[in-house]
Amino acid sequence: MLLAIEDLVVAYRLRTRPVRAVDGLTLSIEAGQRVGLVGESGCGKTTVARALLGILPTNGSIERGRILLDGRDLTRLSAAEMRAVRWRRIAMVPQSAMNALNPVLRVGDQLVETIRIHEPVGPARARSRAAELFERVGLEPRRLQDYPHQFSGGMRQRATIAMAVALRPQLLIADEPTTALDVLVQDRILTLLEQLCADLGLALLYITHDVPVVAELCDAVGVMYAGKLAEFGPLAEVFSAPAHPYTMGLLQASPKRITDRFELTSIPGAPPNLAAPPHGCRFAARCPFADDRCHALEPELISLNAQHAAACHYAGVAPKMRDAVASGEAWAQLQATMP
Amino acid sequence: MNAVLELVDVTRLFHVRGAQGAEGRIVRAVDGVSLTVRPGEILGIAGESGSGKSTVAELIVGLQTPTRGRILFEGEDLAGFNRQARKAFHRRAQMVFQDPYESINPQHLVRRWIEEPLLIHGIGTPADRTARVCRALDQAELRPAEIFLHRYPHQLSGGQRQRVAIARAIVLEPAFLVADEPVSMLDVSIRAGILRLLRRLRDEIGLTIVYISHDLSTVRYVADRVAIMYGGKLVEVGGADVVLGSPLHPYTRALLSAVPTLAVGGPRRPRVALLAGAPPPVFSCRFAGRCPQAMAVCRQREPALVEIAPGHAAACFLHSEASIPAGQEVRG
Repeated sequence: MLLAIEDLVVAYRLRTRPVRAVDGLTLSIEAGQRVGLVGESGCGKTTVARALLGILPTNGSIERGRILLDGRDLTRLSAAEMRAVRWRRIAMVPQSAMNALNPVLRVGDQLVETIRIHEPVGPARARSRAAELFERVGLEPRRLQDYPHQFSGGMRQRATIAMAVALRPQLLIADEPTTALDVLVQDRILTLLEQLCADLGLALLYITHDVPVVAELCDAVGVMYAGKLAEFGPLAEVFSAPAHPYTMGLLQASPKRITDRFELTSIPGAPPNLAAPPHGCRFAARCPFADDRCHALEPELISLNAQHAAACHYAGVAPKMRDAVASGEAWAQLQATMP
Repeated sequence: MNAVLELVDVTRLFHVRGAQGAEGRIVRAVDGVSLTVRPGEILGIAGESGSGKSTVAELIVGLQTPTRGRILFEGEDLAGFNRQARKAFHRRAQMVFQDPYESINPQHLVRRWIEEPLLIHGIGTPADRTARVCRALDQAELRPAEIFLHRYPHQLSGGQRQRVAIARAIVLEPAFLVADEPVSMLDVSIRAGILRLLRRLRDEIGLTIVYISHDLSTVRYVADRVAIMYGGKLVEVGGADVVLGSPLHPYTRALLSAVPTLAVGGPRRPRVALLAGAPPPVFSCRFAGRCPQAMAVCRQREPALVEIAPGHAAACFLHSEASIPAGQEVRG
């Protein structure tokens, strides 16, 4: 196991009280595995990424849990030790490439600097590594001379990917790396990530709200809701036989094949306020199958098999729930009862 | 012709000033676009950033004026409108924008926000206006309307804000609505609700809608007809089923092949590979430099948008050169 997150709790201190953005997350990634982490905005997925890299905002802290990278608990490392992990073991491709690149420095210089800060190599060697990296991500080495503003959005994202893999990390975290890009550019970036993972044996944690992207790119998927893991498992299994009603809803809300007409369902309501999370299951208010038990008692992750788990009291009768969702009735009835 | 709105050979140029004394240049944001919006339809306009789709949106609600060409609203040229006619037009043509957080004044109650257009146009007594605001909220599925009247924007979710923006747009009972990326900022789980609302408004109050998006899957879901734009030009127009089900233009095909879908399993689908060619010379096909099927003619002349099958037009020599004699152009 490359990475094992165990019962991770991350809280932000806000004016009134602490808010647990991630509340008891358990998730693991094997070497070379591509894991998608999906959920709505505010569900905690970016906080997970920041906790893994040790770059939480100053008002955020890990309250509980362990992050084991090759067996070593990252939550116990000093800031200096964590700096040695960042970039070299775990690297990140951020949402906005513009934020990752310094606008007043040449892209090549930034890449060379990243390499030289972490490794004892001379400038000439670092520069030739930078050129190799550029070729690997599909950029012409002569563009190392350019400033970020001379790059298109897709090229900037390629440059940040080059920077992320510069020190040959084992795990790449990509946080919505294609949100700002057009579909054709997004497609090529996804192809690039896929190739890099295969060529370099990289594991990938791909964070997104875009379920179809995960379907195309990942081997496994974790679905987060309101700071908790709702479901985790092999991609094909979770997408063909989801066991959590939230996963079922997300899948119904995403297009299947664009060439044919399709129906989409929306999940009525909004995620709960994490400053005052509800008792019981956090999805209960939006769930068409919720009953008294769901509102009173928080569900544990229930294993459906060795790889697939869901945090739903009724995961055991998932096929029945799937039938009701497929008929389109489930949420329509709930919608009618909501203000 | 039976049209709510018609664009006749509309071009919109922008002069872009050069940086640090460099010479400026002219950007052809929209270039010779002819397009008809039929009553009661949802027309989707799709394309990548820079394709000109948002400029088209602004042109058809009168936020931009064409450099060349005419825009006809119910047969009348917008350019010929006097102040009064312009005001009447603005009452009938409304727009919903991408960002529900920026398009709503955070200090105004929902009621005041939706009522404002009625006040601007001097419509109704206070009691009438309240009734109309409530009806608009109800039509936007913010129910019961009374409880939303006295809420502030920060008390609403993103989806509710976009519904408030839609309520404000329909409170004047417009003839048509332009929605520019209305769901791209919203979470996936609530997008379908907004898109269904647009369809319902079309069905129930007969609203004509121009839906603009870079996201072909939402266009597929909501639109009756689809227009695909590339480089300021229309490259393909037709029923949503045919344009997105059996596309003719290589650009449409490439776009469609790049849209991620839920089809799980196996390697990623085969893509229509595009070339990284240089921009083609002026007066050739805009897409020629990237088109995997480009022919000699594509770099010599510009393909016109011609009807290839009934109701399905494409601007591509692959489909038009052999079958349609030059000069017989058909409007989309």
